[in-house]
Amino acid sequence: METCTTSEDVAVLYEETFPAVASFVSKMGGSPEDAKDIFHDALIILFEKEGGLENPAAYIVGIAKHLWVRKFKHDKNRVDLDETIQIPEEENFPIIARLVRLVELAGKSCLDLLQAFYYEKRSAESIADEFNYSNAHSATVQKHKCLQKIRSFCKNKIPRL
Amino acid sequence: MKASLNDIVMLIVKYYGRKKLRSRLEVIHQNLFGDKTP
Repeated sequence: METCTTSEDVAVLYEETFPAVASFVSKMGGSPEDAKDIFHDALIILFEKEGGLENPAAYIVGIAKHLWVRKFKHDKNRVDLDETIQIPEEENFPIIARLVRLVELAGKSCLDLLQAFYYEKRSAESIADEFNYSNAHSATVQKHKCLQKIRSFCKNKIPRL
Repeated sequence: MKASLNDIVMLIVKYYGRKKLRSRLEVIHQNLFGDKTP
């Protein structure tokens, strides 16, 4: 999430880039809802990408076009595509999706903390500020407790899933 | 290949992160465009 971290940054990037993707998807026969779904997938790929980019807007448009063509690959007669880009489709892992719901019920605050550390890759200082810990060390200690809590939770739940 | 407990916890965190991000993007979309196509 190093490319753009604040809601304002994301909103600016969204406003600048979505119209190009919507126009492309519309020309290809897709609906506004299709355009939004493809665009969100492309943004997720951008946010999960390691390292910065000089032109994130161009990257998103390129990825969105790529995802669209791949989604409708069978209609496009074998278009050669980069298969290394993973489409973020959570529904492909129903057990994990179910575990996420169970862990959310059991300890949402821990999930919020862990996703700030590991998904958003934010610093311990900024996490301590947001989650009201006295300092970065306290936030890190809490992170370890949360990891332990979720590990134990999963250990108990997984045999029953 | 069997995933370790740590791998599973990290997958849970990743999917939860995506879920939160998708909700955030949905809110941004509604604020910027509502139901209109740009």
